[in-house]
Amino acid sequence: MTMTLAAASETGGGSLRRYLKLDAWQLALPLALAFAALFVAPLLLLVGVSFFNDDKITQPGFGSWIKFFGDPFNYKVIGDTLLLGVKTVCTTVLIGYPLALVYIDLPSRLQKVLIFIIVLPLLLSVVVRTFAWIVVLGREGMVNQVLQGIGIISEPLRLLQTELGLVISLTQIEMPLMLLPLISVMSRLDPNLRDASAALGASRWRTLFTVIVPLSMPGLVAGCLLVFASSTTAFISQTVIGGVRLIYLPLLIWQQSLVVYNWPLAAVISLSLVVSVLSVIAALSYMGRRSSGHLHG
Amino acid sequence: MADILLVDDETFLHEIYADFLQLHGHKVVGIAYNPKKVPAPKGWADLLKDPWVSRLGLTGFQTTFGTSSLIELSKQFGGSLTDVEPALVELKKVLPKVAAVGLPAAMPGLFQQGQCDVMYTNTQTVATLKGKGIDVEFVKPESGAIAFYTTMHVAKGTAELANAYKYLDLVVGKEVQEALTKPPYNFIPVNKDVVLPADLPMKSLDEMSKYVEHDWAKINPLRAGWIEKFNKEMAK
Repeated sequence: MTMTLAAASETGGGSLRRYLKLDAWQLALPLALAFAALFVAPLLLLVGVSFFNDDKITQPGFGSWIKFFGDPFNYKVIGDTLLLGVKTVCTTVLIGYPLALVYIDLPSRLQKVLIFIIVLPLLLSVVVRTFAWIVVLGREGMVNQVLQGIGIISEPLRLLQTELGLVISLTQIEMPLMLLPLISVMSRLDPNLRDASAALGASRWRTLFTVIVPLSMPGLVAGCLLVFASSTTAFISQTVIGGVRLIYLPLLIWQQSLVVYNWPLAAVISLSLVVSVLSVIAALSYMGRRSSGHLHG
Repeated sequence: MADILLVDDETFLHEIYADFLQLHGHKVVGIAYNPKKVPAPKGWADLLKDPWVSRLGLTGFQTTFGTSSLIELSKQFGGSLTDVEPALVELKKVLPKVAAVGLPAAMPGLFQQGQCDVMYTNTQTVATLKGKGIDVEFVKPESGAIAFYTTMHVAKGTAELANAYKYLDLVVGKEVQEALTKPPYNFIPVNKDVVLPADLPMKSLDEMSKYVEHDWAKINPLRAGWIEKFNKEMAK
């Protein structure tokens, strides 16, 4: 780390550093302090609040933890939340990866157009996008009107307040988070490698799975991490499109903190969400490192 | 939560009804329905029968109107103010047919989109939907509409007591109360000098003394448990 910084300091940044007579750790101090004050300290406070038994936060104890983990219903909620993340990751990969492959082969002018279309949803607030899906998926919404109009169905499909509808809408809402890292990594792929693979007799599918996919793994893993973290915590989408019959951890956190004002229990549920999502993310990162490790070995 | 300071000095509260000290607005809870899609239901129990149940939008105990509606529904099946179990049992039986189960704030949006055509709600929501040109009518259930009040309280030990009283006086005064009856607030006033909006389910505020009122001091300790129960009963 110090060596890389030393190498960097030989270029532009070096003169400023020499002028200010600062070490690397001193330059990183403002951000580190902000991180400690605005992220680490509140997180520790959350951990502290979780170790109280009552909603008035007066009796320390493990009561809230026992209450939450003593109820089998909550294990189902944790499982459903993580499963929702996994399903959304799978659908975004299935649709996003081919789109990224199309992107890298497009001429530069069309690439700009495609990037604009991909980034366009991000220009709208996620709340607006979520409510727009009610209009699309509703009983009298676009999908049902089109399908009934062409005569494929006679009764409207139930898409809103179902997991299918939720995954469909989350796929669109989270798609930019998958596509942007993927495209960023895949654009830097050396096209000679694909040509070399073809020249050596590999079919297009073999080239895809043995050359392109492993090389694009960092972008794919980054996209999966972002989509997973975002979809498991997407409270607005889960409750507005999924409804209250699909119960995930963010809904429980909202109920305990802003409806019932039981802060210790809300802290317990929040920490459970953080730990469970981070565990899956750590596993994904590990798998990503393992699969791309052999490329540079 | 602030401690409540009881108002001793009533001289500035001369304009409001004697029963309604400390109150600054009313809401009335009943049943809203789309008259073009379903006939008018007569009472809470109708919500669980055809043709209403397949167009019903439900919500849980997260808000006042949801809690008080479910209590009234439960009373139709042998429950009481503190026992909502019968309502949950009956709802569970018809759950596969119910059109939508959502967060309280999402219900007007679902109604507007035609996702549900009948729901329990308050007069404020009905007035808001009507104001946007949506087909909706309010029905007072046979067993009685529910009245609840929005209140203002002075925090105990405040340094600004005189100004707090002035603010209370302002809010229950005619000008502010009149403004509160209009969109987007659509409150029912406490000030007797204010003309009631035309589409309210009552001609004068005196009728409200016949409405159902709930003792929230008894409900509040139970609500957290009810919310968890509702989650478990409604979960797919």
